[in-house]
Amino acid sequence: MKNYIIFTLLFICFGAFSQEKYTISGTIADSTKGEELINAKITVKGLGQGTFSNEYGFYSLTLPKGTYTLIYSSTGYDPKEVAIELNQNLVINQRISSLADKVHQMAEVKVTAKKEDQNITDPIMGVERLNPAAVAKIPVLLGEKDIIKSMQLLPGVKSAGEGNAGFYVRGGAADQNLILLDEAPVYNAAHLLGFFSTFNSDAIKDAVLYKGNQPANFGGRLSSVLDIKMNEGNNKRYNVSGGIGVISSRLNVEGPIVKDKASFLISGRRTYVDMFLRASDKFKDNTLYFYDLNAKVNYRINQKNRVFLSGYFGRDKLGLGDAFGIDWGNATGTARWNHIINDKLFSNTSVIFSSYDYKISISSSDVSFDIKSSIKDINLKQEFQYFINTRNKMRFGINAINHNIIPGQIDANEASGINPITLTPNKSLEAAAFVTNDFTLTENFTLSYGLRLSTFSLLGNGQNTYSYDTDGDVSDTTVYKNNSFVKTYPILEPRVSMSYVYSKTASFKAAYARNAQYIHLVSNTTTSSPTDLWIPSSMNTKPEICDQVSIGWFKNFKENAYEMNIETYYKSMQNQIDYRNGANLQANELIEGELLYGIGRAYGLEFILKKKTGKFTGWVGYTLSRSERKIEGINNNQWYASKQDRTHDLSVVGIYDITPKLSVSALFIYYTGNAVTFPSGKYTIDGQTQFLYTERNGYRMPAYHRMDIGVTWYRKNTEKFESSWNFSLYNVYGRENAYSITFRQNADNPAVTEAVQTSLFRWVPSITYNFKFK
Amino acid sequence: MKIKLLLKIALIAFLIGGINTSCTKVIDVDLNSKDPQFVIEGFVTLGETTHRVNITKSLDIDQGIAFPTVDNAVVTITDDLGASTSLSLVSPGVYECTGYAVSEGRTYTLTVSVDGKVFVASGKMMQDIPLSSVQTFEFAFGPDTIHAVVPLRQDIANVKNFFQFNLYNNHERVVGNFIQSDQYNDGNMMMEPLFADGIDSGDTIDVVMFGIEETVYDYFYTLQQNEQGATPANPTSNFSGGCLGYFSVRTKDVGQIVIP
Repeated sequence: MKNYIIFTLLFICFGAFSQEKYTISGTIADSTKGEELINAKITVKGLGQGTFSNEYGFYSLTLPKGTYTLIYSSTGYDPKEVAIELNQNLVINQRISSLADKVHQMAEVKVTAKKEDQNITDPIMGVERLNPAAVAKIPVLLGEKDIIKSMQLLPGVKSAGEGNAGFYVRGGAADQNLILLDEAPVYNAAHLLGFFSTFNSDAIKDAVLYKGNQPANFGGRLSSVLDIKMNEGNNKRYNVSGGIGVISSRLNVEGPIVKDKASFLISGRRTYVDMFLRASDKFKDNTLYFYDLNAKVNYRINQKNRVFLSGYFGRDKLGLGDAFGIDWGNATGTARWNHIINDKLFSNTSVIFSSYDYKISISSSDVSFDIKSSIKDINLKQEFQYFINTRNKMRFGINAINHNIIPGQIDANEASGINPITLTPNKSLEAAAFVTNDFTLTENFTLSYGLRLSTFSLLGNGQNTYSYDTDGDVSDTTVYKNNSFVKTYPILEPRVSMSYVYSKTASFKAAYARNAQYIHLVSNTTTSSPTDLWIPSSMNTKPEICDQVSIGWFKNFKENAYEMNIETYYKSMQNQIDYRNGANLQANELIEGELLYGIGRAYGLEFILKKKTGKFTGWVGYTLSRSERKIEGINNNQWYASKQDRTHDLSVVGIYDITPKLSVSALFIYYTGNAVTFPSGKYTIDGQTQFLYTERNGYRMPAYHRMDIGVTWYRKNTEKFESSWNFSLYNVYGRENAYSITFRQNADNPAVTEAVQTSLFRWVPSITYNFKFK
Repeated sequence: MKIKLLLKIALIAFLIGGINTSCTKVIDVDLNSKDPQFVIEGFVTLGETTHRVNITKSLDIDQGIAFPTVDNAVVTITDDLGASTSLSLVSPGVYECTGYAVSEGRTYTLTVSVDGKVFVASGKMMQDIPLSSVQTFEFAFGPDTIHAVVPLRQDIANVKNFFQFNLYNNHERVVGNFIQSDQYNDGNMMMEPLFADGIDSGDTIDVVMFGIEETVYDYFYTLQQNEQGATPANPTSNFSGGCLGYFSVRTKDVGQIVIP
């Protein structure tokens, strides 16, 4: 009897699960360009179920046998409906058309209320997706479309100030942001001491910023991940496009190598500021330029296999005649292989090379010497995406990076009297394994949870390795065998994020993440400098760890035409680094003796209200926050405001499409000044006035605010050719925003001390001409 | 190596020659105040028998008066063999002793007692390094030529040596913080140039070179870093007791050149 019951139960259970399910998979791409679409939506009409395409345009959806209508859509694209009869596994590679291809030919703008409610349903919090097409219309300095400067207009992301390309996310330092270009880390994302970023917007397909709650497949930096994907190159027809501007020009060439199967893309940009210098007698022998070059090639071997090869090369050069020169730059190279194992399993294998180096050269008559420094990474990554069923989408993989850092190398000729030295290179191995799952518990409740186990090992280099005491003096010197494991740090990083959609238009979200960072940027200057140095964790410097908790409320209005997101976060950071008084950080073998360690914390409230559809679009973003450090040996071991602490940060951006051919935009920014250390007294040393400092970062720079406007005129748009003009004015009311404040003696009366404010840009107009041969 | 200075020149060149001029203006800043602190600068110089100590007090930033001198201190110098001397006030804030010979290898201790407080510092006289000669180093910067002064001396190998310079242009003291270390030139004939404003052809430049201790070098290095906009901090004084300033036990040599 018992056997019968068990058998029947099993049969019922089996029967319940035996309802047959099949999988629809494939890729979704742009119909004109052939570019795969990232994060495109595939929904099942009427069922409210669906999925998103991954970063290679691949999607997989498992449903019970039956008849369905699938809707393929993406922001800025005409949605396409496909009716299917699902009685076996299907492969559907879909092409959808971009709205932009239609709009410019029409007399009126079609108002499409896109049903974009991803901000409500996506369980991942603290994420900003920036569309390069939207970036194109926002006015920026010198008319240069800049994805990083535009990202700084969003709440929680703060610019490091004028003349600084770095940015701070949620109170974190500038080196706590991982910037990835096609999976390769870019170490220095700034040109010309910070005035421009290294990303040529023409070649960018997608950019996503995770503000600390990144899923477990990302790791290595505490505060954020900026994941930038470049275009693959139009695989249907050739395109030559570009722009000519006041300060720089760019050219983009893309096209098919084998139509629909292989394509390439080459994109370059160069400034010619040095041409202006030639006009001046005083500066005519000086060099000042930068260039960026992006090159990509991809080949679809067959339906299931695709390979990609991409590279980025960028360099800046500053020179004073022949006597002095400094140049620096990044080079990255990525080779990837996508393999669709089956309808549910997607694999990506990547081999990545990334390097950053700088060189300072000084030469005059018979004396010459160079100072060089570099960081080179080799990275191997294997990742699987497993679309288990409609409820579960899993990702797992491993990652290993070998860092090779040469902290300083001096080459000098005999006549210079300088000893050539090479500071011992330091080598390390950073490895990680992760697993993460996006789980749909119910229609309203989705959860993304994952675990990352990361380890960092400092490898021996056969030369002196030092340990220090609390005064920064060397306490121990040991020599470790080359490539032996000197010190290993394993850290477990759990990540969890959830979204509860409580009404059709609103949701609550909560998230927790732990992040570890094993390499650190040493820099004690107020502006980012190309000579800042990366150091690995070691016997003395421990890995930085951050625990971040955030909760948020997300609400859309008027059928997703308006989006409102409110998030609040709290971050607790360990093993933060700061510097001793008068630290000597340049080519110093004993650099770790100059470092001091402690903890940090940051918390804040972020608010954004966006209008996404209609003739008038834009947003208002506001952040209220605090960021502090407590370092042993600084400020009497009391908490002090970190350099990037910024109480208020407001951005207002508006874009108005007057006609399909004319669009105007304006932005207004206001933020509290950085925390700075000003003197509280003065005294005399050797006849010169020196300043006496009390609290670290106890004062504030004056508040920063400015307004920019821009006009874009889409002049021509035919089958073969497109052109547009962009006019912009940076700092419309010419406010003298403080770049620095220094103190000096009054020229007439040396006993009087005055404060001098230096500001950089007042009104900066610019014109850019953009063209495209199709 | 004034890398940061040259980087700054490049930046200014970019700003001026490039798109827009940067502007500066004097502004008002509300600053806290600090109780006046004692500031002591003490010197014991090899080859001299007269040694000097200056004592002043600090002020608030907004006080537009001369720094107050301290005239009621009791100042003594003792060496590690017990030979001591006391310094008497010769002019406001300036204390001197006479007839006190000093030699290499001795440790000297300076003690200052004033208003119930005692400040003590010590230094050891290092091996003398003579100034071999003074040369010039020129390079073109657009239509101008920049003249730098090169104090040549033979550095002692395997010992950390630090130098401080006083420059005089046509007998007027050149304002500046001139320090060098042998970090990159250990054991070589050192020829690192000194850059200063206002050095033109025909000027007579007097160079006074001091061989200083690491603590005093670090003191002036911090002051130099503070000027360059890094997070400024108070330099570490080698005095105990909580005053500002330093005690420098140093060697000395002089040289001269007329800029061609």
